[in-house]
Amino acid sequence: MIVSRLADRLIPPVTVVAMLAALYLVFVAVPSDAYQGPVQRIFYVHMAMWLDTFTAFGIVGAASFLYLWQRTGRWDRLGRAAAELGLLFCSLGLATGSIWAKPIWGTWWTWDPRLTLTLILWMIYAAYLLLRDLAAEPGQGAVLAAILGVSGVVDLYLINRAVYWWRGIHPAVIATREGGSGLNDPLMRLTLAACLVAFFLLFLWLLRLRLQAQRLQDSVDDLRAVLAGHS
Amino acid sequence: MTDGHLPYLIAAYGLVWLGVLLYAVGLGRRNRKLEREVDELRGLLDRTGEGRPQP
Repeated sequence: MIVSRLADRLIPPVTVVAMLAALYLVFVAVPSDAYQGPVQRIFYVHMAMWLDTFTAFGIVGAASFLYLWQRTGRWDRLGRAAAELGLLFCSLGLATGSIWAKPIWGTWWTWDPRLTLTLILWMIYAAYLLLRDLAAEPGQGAVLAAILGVSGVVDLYLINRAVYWWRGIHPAVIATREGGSGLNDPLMRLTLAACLVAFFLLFLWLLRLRLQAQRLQDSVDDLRAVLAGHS
Repeated sequence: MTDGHLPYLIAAYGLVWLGVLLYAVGLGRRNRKLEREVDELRGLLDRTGEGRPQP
């Protein structure tokens, strides 16, 4: 309880400071890429979107597995909250990638293995959220969504491996196909780290807010049920 | 590659911030609405409880 309250107080200001530091590094301190120029700076926010997406969908996978195993509502609620955030960051990851691709690849979209698998990932978790609204019974929707939530983890693994297994246009930057890192400048590595930390903190902040909404919704449902019993 | 690609950079960061901001504002509004609803329902439940005969 104390840790939770402390996190509620600390996460917002720390996130704001981390975000300002990340923005300073991205737009002022870090040098431009010799070949791509300033547009390469999209890389930092693009990577941050994927860290949040993978974290969110990883949480959905784990929570879905635990829900199927234990059938307790808390895992279902956690999975649902994380799926909503994952879909937000996955959409933004696809959008930033597309905006970056246009000047560098000359096209907004290409059916590269990693890009295609990522679009499938987006569809899996959009279906995960839709299933709940479309299912005849809430319990049935939660079980079907959990099955989808677990199976989505396979796609996460395939996305990670795609650049190494298949010949596509998408580069492997952090760990190149030849081994080693594609980021040689220490300031570029620092900027990437700052962006990842800042957007991970933002993810935690939003997840807590989303879980709070879920708890409030549960309270509303419980109170309505009690009132219905009174009348 | 030149600075002519600057609008792409602005568009990417602008879109991320717009997306996050819209989601956060929507979430904040949803939470405030739900908090009000919980307060109203609790008040209603208190009144209903008072109106019932004591055992």
